Amino acid sequence: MDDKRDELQAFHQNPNQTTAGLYAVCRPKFLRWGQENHRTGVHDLADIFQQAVVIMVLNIESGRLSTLTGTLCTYLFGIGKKLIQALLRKQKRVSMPGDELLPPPRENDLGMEARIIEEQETNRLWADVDALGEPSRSILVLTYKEGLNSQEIADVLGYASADVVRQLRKRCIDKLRKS
Amino acid sequence: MNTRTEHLIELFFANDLSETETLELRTTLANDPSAAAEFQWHQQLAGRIGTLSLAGSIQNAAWKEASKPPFREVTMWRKTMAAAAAIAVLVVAWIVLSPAKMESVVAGNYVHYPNKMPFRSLGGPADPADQVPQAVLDAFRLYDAADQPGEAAKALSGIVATYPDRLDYRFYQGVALIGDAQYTQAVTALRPVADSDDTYKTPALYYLGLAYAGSGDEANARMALQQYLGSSDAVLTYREQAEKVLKALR
Repeated sequence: MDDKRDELQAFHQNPNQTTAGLYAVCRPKFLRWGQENHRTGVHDLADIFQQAVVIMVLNIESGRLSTLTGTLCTYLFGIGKKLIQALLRKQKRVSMPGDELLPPPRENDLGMEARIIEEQETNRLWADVDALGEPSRSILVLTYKEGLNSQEIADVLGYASADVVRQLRKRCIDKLRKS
Repeated sequence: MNTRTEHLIELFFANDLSETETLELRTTLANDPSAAAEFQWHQQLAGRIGTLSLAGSIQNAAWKEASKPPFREVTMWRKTMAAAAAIAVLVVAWIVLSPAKMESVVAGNYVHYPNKMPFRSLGGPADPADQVPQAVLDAFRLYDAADQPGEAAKALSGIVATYPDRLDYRFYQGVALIGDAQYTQAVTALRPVADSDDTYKTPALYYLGLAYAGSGDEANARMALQQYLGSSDAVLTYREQAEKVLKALR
């Protein structure tokens, strides 16, 4: 048990050495395990491992990870599993008519000015998301980019339940709409 | 907007919709303008968030640096040998794998175009008043399933042969052919649509670009994709994908 607290302390004292150790020892295990159990490509697994390390660091920084029940490697495996599940679902994504169900653009050709305004609005939206800070930014990236469901986000970020994640996400989205 | 629609949208972005839920969401988006607008807002947000990285959220600069994969230190001699070996491998790979690489770029930027045909009976019981031939309905049912592009392309080829003036049928045939990696045949299907003034002209230019790229005709691929990007349409749904394929063609 002291070893586990030591791992977190070691990270605080020397983050480079700790993560170097994880890449050297834990990553090969993760890649092997992912290939054997989920038939996932090694490049995808390497990206996932990298994401898991980033999430671990975010959780340490925010205080969501202050005690370990296992080792850091076990912790990374736990996050990695959720990311793999999301990746496998992403590969089977259904297409959905969203904005494409709106009338064909030709009928509503608004011209250059309207297009510039639309581009400015989406650039502002991007800046607003970036400015939200943690945990909003992570929740939105895990939702919309990585395709994790609310329970998976709760598990990897250390929240009590999927509903907590939904409430936090709704608050972020409401802030974005107002800004 | 009701919570059921919110839930379905959440499931969509988690790629967790069942078949029934997929149909329910499509129907809702088709019949409820406020739900469609909400969904579009989420899609725009998702598009922008796709450019962000999780690592960008780490505030502590030292920790951000530590989260990157470490590089091993090597001697200059090893670096030189490694660089030479890498260049040799890249040259061989370029010679041997270029066609395969472009195919994987095409496959990676292929998006199944959503069915916009105004068949009221799609997804529900057939309505005799629609007067849409059963063969057409069956072909589009296969197209909508999206998991058997080869079968869909075959069925759509049949209705294109029966109705050769229907550019919309040709368009969907072309998209299905690309989904099945039949690029040369897709060019034949899409060329007349891209050359016309039909409603599907603009998306046809994008898919024609993909088809040319997949079949190895880089010059025509560039032309079609540049025409697509230069289109006067207010919204270019596949702008990002077209730019990526063009970049790979250079």
